[in-house]
Amino acid sequence: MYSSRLIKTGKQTVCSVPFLLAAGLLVTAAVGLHPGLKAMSDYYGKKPIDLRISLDQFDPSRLPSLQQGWKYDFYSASEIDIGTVDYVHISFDNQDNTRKLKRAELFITYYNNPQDKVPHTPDVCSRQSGAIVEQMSVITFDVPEWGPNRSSVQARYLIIREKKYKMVDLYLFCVEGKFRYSRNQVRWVLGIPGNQYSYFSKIEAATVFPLNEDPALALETSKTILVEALPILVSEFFPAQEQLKRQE
Amino acid sequence: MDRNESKVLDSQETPGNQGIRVVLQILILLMLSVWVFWSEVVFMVQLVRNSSDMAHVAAMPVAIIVLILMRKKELLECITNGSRWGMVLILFGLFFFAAATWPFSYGYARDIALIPLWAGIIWTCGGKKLVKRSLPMLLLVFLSIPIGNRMYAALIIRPETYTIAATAKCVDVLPGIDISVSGTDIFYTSEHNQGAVALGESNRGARLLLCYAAIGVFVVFFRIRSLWRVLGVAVVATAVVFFCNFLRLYFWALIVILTNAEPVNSWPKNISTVISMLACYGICVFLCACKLRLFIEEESKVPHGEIETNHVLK
Repeated sequence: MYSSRLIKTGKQTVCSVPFLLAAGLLVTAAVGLHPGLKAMSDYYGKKPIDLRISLDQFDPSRLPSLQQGWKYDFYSASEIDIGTVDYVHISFDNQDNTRKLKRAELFITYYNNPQDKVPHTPDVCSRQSGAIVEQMSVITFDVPEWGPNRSSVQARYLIIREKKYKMVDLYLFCVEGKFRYSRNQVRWVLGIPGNQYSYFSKIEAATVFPLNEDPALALETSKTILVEALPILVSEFFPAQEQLKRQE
Repeated sequence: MDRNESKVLDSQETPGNQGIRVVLQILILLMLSVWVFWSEVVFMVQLVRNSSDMAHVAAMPVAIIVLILMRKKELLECITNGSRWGMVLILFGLFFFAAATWPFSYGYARDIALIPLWAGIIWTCGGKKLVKRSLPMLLLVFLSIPIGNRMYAALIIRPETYTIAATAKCVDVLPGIDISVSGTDIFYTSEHNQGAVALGESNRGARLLLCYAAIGVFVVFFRIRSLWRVLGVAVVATAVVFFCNFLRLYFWALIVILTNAEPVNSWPKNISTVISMLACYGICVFLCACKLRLFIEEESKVPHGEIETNHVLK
């Protein structure tokens, strides 16, 4: 029968069998764990992959719901702040003054360096610039263009209050072809070994609405922008699933 | 108790000698574990030194030693010759650490891996009961591990928003003071002055949460209490932490507004922090001392100075 008591017979010593086993294990881990993990990371580490088409080629006129009465314009962003040069930021201004919704925005950023940090999201950033996050939840919606075979998409749903207006902000990430709505989910997918190449993209649709109005219409507009933009991005801009796979 | 764990002390060994042996073993293994986690430990130390949010960590070694000394007798009583089952926890901790390094990269998860590893070390050297009675100390270690800035910023959105809103409302009811909130900033206008409260501090509406929790853990486990009382305090612990967090911002706002202090002055922040920490200590002491019928009945079953393992958390 196993007894954990002694190495020496008769008396307890510091060097009991479990202690020696644990010490041996820890020394082995201290010496070998880091080099081992680094070797695994070097061998299985993912490589960057470029967009099929640069995001600045994104044509806003291909979003049918924002054709009539909306005028679009491209914005520039601080590449240091967003951490990438691959982005497109489009603003849609409503030309019809009688409409409640004055402005909508589509902001897409793309990251392909495996060392890239998943950027801050609007729920964190907007507060630092003086906004108040009134609501934070997750919504699920279908993208009809993908047909019934593809599962629904989930996006983070925020209602953000600025001084003079409110905003419905929907954002989600496309990471190696999969859609996720939180930073940690993105980091999880990026960590799963298998693919040789990796990328992720943040896709954000925001619609501004008056302070005292119901957010339903703004939510519908933001959702429609995503429903119309996502198929274009997946089929024409983001790398295809086959391109990501490891070449044997 | 598992099959491999020796129940009693060797007849030739006194409890004191056994205690010294186990302490030596644990210290040696802890040092080896620090070697494994060296880069994480260095990073944590740097983070603690540079962040006032984690300043309480500097007091944690003392707090842990105090807790150990306060329950020295109980800890010595439950020491056995250890068990190989502790190796399972050590392996789990190492695996967790490895997985959080590659393929996944989660800094906080890497740091947290220390907890199962240290629990495994205690189990290996002193047995399962010693792990159980060391839980308060392990909990303090857990609360000493800093949460990464990005993760913390995302976690505190709701509590910080509510705390700032509550503070603004409470200050707004004072006569002659108008308050407005913009993002995480609180602006005030009084008869004599106007300005902003709590400028120059990130996460100002949800800071020191781990510190309040650590104070609570220390107070609750300073003495050996009935499980019901510990559970009772645990149920209201979150509310206490957020209330103290609110108190800090509220007193900071009051001091700045009433004394017309410069926004960048640090003394209003320091005073409000001390007030909130004292309040946290006071509330926890009150909760531990209040004579609810349930606690009295439970505690009356335990003869004074004795420990009854079936309903006393050590």
